[in-house]
Amino acid sequence: MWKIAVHTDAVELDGEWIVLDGERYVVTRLNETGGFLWNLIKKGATLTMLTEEMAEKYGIPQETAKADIETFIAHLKEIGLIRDAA
Amino acid sequence: MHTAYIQIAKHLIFVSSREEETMAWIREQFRPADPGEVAARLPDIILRVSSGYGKPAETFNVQVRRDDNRLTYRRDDFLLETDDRYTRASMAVHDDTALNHALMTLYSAHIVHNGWGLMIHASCIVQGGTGHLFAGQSGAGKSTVAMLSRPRPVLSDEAAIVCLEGDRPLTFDSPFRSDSVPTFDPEPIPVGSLHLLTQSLFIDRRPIRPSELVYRIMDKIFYWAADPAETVKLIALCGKLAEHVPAYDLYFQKNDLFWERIS
Repeated sequence: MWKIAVHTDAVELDGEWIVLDGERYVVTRLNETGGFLWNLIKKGATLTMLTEEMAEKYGIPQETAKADIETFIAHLKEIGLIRDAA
Repeated sequence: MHTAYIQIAKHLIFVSSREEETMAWIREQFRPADPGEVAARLPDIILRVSSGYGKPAETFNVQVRRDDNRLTYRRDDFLLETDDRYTRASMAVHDDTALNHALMTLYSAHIVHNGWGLMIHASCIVQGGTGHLFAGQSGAGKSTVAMLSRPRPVLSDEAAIVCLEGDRPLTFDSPFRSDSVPTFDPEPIPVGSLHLLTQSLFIDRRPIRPSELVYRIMDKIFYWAADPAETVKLIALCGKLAEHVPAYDLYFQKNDLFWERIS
C-alpha cells in the first residue's frame, strides 16, 4: 500500500486527471488509466487489488496489468506524489 | 490616522495609514466603496499601510514564512503580515509599486482561500457584453492586445480578476494595471473565452481541451505559495475555470484582426 502526498488534489476533465502537489507546486497529468489507478491508490488499494481491478476493467492479462502498475507506481514515487505506507 | 473604504470586485477593504500621501494614492488607484455596502456589512479585509520600508526590488521573489496562524511575505520593497484567513493585514512598503504588488499578493491569497476566484496573468477586453481573457507570461502580449483592442473597454491589462463562485464565471474591472487605467465600473461581466497568447506572423485560433488548459494555466495564476493546504485549492478553481470557459491558443499579429476569429 502507498500513501498519497499530504497536500494534493486532483480534477478530472475530458478523461484526464490533473494532480497538483501543493507542497512543491508541481502539476502532473494522468491519462484515464492513470486516473483510475490514482483513485484506487487513494482509497488504500494494494498491488494485488490494483492488478485485479485493472485486468478486469481493461480485459488484459494480470501479468501485463501488474507490470504496467509497477512502472506507474515507480513513476509516482519518483515525482513524490506517493510513498510506501509505513 | 487617515482611512478609506475601497472595493476590489465584490470585496470591501478598509485601509488605514498615518500617511496622507499613501492614502491619497490609494484613493486614486482604487474604487471608493459603495456607501450602501459600507453601511451594510463588515469589510472583507482590514489593512494598515505604512511607507519607508526597504529598497527598490531587485527581484520579484517573495519569501514567505508561516508562524502559527500568521503569514509573512517579504520582498526587498515590502513586508506584508496577515492572519491565515487573509482578513487582517499590515503592510510596510517602499513605494507605490511595492504597495500595489503587496496588495495583489494579499488579495489573490484572500480570494483563493475563500474559493471565490483567481487572479490571472491576463488582459480582459469586453466585446458585446462579454469579457474575453488573453493570458500569458510577461512579454506574451497582454498589454499589446489590450492596446490593439481599443476602443473596446479594457477590464484589465495585466491581472484579470475572475469570480468562480457560480456556474458562470464573472470578471471585474481590475485596479492592478500596467499601462491602462481602471474604469471603476462595479458591474461584473460574464467571461466568454480565454486565450493563451502567442505573437505570430499569422492569425489562428485553436481550441484547447479543458484538461490541457488546467495544466497550462497554473503558471499564469497570480499566487504566492505560502501554505500547501491553501495552494492545493488552486486546482479546483482552475478546473472550474476550464469547465465553464472555452479556451484557445491565439496566434496574433500586431493588429486587431484576431477579433474576426473571436466575434
